[in-house]
Amino acid sequence: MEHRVSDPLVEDYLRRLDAAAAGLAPDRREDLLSGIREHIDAAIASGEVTDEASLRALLDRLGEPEEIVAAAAEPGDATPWAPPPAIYCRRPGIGLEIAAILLLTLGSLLFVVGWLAGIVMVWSSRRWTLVEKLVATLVFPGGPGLVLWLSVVAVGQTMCTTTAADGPSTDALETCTSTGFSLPAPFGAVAVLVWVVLPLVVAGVMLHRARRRADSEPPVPVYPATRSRWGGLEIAAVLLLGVGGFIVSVVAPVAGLFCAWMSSQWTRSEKWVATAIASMGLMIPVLGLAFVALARTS
Amino acid sequence: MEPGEAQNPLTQLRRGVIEYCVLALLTEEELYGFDLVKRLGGSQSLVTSEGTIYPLLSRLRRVGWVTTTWRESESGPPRRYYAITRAGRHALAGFTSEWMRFRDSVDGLLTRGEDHGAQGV
Repeated sequence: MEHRVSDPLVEDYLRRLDAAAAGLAPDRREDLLSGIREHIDAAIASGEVTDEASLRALLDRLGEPEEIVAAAAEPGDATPWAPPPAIYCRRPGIGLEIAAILLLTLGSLLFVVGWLAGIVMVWSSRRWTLVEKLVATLVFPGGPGLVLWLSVVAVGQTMCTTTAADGPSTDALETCTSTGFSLPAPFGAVAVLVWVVLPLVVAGVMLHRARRRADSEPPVPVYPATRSRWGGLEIAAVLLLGVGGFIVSVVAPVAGLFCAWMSSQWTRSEKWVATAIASMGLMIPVLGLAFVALARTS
Repeated sequence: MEPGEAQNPLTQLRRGVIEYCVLALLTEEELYGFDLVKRLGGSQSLVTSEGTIYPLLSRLRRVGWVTTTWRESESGPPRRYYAITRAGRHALAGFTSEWMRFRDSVDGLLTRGEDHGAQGV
């Protein structure tokens, strides 16, 4: 026959005991609670507890929950309220800022998506001023990648044909024809300067400032439990290594490799995995050329 | 350990001794928690907080000095009865002879101290 006591005094006592026992191993915590619960039930069944005063006296004799848990604690038990000891301190990382700049410059080759992600990251950083964020947004509208995409789409194709020259001469004659429109040379030079060189200069300056501001911040203690393996730097490395090779050959895998080896969160073996992936990424243009060569010969 | 606890040397001593008192109680018969606590509580100086017996019982069970069996009771929910094991009896026997020697040495020194104190007055 079950007749469990559900007196608020008892419930409150057991709740306090349960909270105090949070640091014990789950089976011992359960064991302790059921033992005390059993004691109270047995006391009531024995007829010892008749009213509130006798119930209070029973709980008083049991003792304070903290006292009971202290008796249960053994060497090796965790104290739940104490923070885990910091293993070491490191200088504040600027993974977010590095990833933001990489996405604004190289990432912009991923058409609008990469650049937009970069902009979101720039605005979520607290290491840049409002003016710097505005500059980053306005100097890179679409990023240098957009220029390349536009040049492909709008300028069109330049077709070269090689025709064998008349006569015994073995010299070949090359004729190139451009379709679409082409910009006047001086204007093109300015455009390249604005769209490609200026963003790179701004990128460098912004990274430098972010680093300097991060250095003036207090060092970050690294706890074993909260040590994340995924900072901005790591995410950038994966993006560059994973898809970068298909979009910008050579440059993106090398940048990804740089990010991976810069990471303070990844182990040496994980970095070597990244290196293996990067080497595959580097192979993409080689494979592409081989494919084209094969297609030509057949 | 709390500072207050360190000030009373008997607190630590009690903690070490009480589990053997529990074993001694169980050599005669199997008992359930509440009953055990009642009998220990008979000697006031032995148990300050009755609740601390339960972690102790759970520790004795983990080291294999006692075993537990659930039994129905006429009044109330089923009860966990504690029984001493062979290993428990062995440990108790070892402690009992140690305790006798320890008690005699302490008593001898304390009563000598008392005599000296009496002489000084």
